[in-house]
Amino acid sequence: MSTVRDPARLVADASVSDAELALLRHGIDMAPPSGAEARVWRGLAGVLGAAAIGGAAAAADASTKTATTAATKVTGAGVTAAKVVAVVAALAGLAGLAALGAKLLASANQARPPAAAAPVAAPEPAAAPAPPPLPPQELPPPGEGAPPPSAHAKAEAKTKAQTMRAAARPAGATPPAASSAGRLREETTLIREARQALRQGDAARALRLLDEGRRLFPAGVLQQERERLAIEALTKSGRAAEASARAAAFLRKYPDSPHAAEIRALGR
Amino acid sequence: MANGGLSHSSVVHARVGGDGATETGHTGPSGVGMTFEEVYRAHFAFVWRSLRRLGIREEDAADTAQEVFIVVHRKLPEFAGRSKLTTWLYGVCFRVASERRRARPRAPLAAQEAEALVGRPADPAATAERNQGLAMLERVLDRIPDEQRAVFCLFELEGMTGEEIAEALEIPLGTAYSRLRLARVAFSAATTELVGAAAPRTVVRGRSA
Repeated sequence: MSTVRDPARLVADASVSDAELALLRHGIDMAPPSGAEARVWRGLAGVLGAAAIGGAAAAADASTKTATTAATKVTGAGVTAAKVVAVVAALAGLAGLAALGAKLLASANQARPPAAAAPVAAPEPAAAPAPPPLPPQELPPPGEGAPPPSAHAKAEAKTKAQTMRAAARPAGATPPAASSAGRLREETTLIREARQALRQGDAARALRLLDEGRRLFPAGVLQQERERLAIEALTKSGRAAEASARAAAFLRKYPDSPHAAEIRALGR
Repeated sequence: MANGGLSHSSVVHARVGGDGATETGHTGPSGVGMTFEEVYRAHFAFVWRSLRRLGIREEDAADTAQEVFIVVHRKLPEFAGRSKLTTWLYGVCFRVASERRRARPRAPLAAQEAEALVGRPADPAATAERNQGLAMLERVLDRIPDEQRAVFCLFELEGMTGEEIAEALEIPLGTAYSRLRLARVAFSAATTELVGAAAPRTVVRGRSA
């Protein structure tokens, strides 16, 4: 990567005025307030479901685990180094060399932990076991109960076409829909409100909101989450037959969904 | 990072590229071996400050960051690692922020400033000064057209290279450079106008002093 043509940064430019420099410094130092990361993560869990994004519990102690892993690694290295020191000392038969080796080892171990434990904000992959993200799936609006075979086949064809369109997009590109973020916000809000209604025991309101979401966003991003909540709401409303029909349809459509285990439990 | 001038950005770039993740044998569907949660933990701060610098107000930043990560959650499996993760993430931030601003235009600058300056009387002096500085920075950046503003912030504040910026915004390198030049002119003019060339420090570094 050539950066020969890049000019020097303004902050490194002596001719920049104090006022500009002060503003640039403010911009460089910009950081989220404490707690924002956890708060937004909880919001995501509320919208997407904790299971789908890796679980809140795993998130909470990821940094602890990272620290533990780092400590373990350091200890491991220390043990190996200690063995080497012992072997060298035994071969040489010099007590003084062993003492020197132990001293070197101690200073090496002192130097290590801070460096190894530094990336607390960015936990090591191994320290945070999380299920893979949702694959980009498109769900046609599920009918009440199990759909008749013909409608199901039609829905399948539609899903395939949508998936192919999605796959045809270049990697990393967001669909060109003009108001995608605005629609996403609305879809998100509906799901969040439905979830809240359900938690407050108002399953009827939750179902109304979810139906509205299904009507407004038939090919929305959050179809799995919506359907999962609908199944739970039906169960809580005593509509067990509908719930298990919807659960069965969901599992046919998304056998590998992060919500599958939960749906299986709900549908019974 | 050939420039290496801004240490704050190297923190962000450290884990990009997927090598660190794949060496543990942990490969997810993202193609770079990071799970959604790992991406979130590693890049939340980057997403946050990117949105703020793109004109998303402090009070809207959490909601907007959430929208960004919903898109990321959906799109991560499509991210094939052809670009750096941060440049890809910035593309998402840029689109979501543009949408948000279109849907809800910025409040008048005077009102924004008043809120920032008066709204937090209980803050310690240092925080108040920082908030004043941030409010002024936002006013100045608001004078720069959005596309130039993005280039300016990525280059001057995030410390990205011209090529990384071109990739993030899907524009030619030459376009990135010309936007940077225009943005610098606008930044300088807006600073002079809003902060004042005569007494820059009194406004930017705290009126209470």
